[in-house]
Amino acid sequence: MASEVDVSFSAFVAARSRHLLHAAHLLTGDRHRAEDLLQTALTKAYLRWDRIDEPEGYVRRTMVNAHTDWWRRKPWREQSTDAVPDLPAPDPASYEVRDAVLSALATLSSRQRAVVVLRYYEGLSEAEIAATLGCSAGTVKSAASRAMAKLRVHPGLGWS
Amino acid sequence: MVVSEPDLRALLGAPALDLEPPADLVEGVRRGARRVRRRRAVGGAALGVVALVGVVSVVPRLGGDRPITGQVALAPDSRFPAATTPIAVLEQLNGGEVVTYFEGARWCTASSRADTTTACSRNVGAVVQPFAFLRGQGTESLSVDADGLVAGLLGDGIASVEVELADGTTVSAQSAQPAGFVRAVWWLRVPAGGVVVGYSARDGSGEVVTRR
Repeated sequence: MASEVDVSFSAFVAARSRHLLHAAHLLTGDRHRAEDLLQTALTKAYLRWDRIDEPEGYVRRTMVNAHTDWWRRKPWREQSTDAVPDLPAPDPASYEVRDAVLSALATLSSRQRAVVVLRYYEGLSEAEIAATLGCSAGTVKSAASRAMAKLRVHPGLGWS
Repeated sequence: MVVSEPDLRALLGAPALDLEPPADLVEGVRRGARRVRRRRAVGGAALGVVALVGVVSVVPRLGGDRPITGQVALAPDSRFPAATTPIAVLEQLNGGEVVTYFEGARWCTASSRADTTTACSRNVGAVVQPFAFLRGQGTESLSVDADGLVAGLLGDGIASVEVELADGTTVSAQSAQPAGFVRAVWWLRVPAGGVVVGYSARDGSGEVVTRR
């Protein structure tokens, strides 16, 4: 019989994993790394599930920190699969959007990238981002400003 | 065109960037949690052994009949007998692996599969200029077959390094300072077919400090 923790955790994953995986995709720019990042963060959360007040914030914070954390990104921890899932052929236009966004994000430093994802995808305030990244609100503000300056001139986004 | 924040929000949230979570995600998490718990259990047992050895070692000294020779215990690796730090795996490539470690003040990298190729730097001093310690594309100790990494030590005031490729893309390198390392190491696995043309070093605020 499933424990209360298992039931609650499974419900959280069912409800939020797609959103969190999307964020991980923006952070890493790679499907497999994104899945690995999410699984790593969820594993940490699962191990202390009954002590976490705000699971999504915890998982988000863990993903952002783990993204730049060397030990959690060691290759032997990465999951690979031989089986490629069957996916519907996407609209070519969606490829263009995906490639444009990911190539633009790839021009940012890891901190700038995290700030952009947390601010414009997750909708967090500067104070919340600062708490997540463990830095000052001023640092968040300047990182966001520099990131926007780079994104503005990125040809793939069509803003120039 | 003026950049609009709503546009950026829409782009970042575009369905094209959605991924389907793996069907076995929850089961994968449970498997991972079991592995962590096993490691913790093993770690706890090992700590107990270390504590016991410590007590056994100290007791004779307290009795005054045997001196202690203080050596930091490292996991032995016969490939790198002179290592004075743990051996950190940077990447696994084509059945081999690329590792880094220190021999005293010398920074070493090595690629290892059937054979092992090792390279160590001169002594790393107290002050390190940006890119004073850099191993570029094609370095044997960072390559397995045609695949390889670029790597270096973070200089003073440098928080991150970006690698510029010939196709115009710029990729952020990973960095870390494992326990015992004199300096933080940065590294990047060069994408297949990629050609590295330059490096940028940024400070903690994200400002580019220098390029090479």
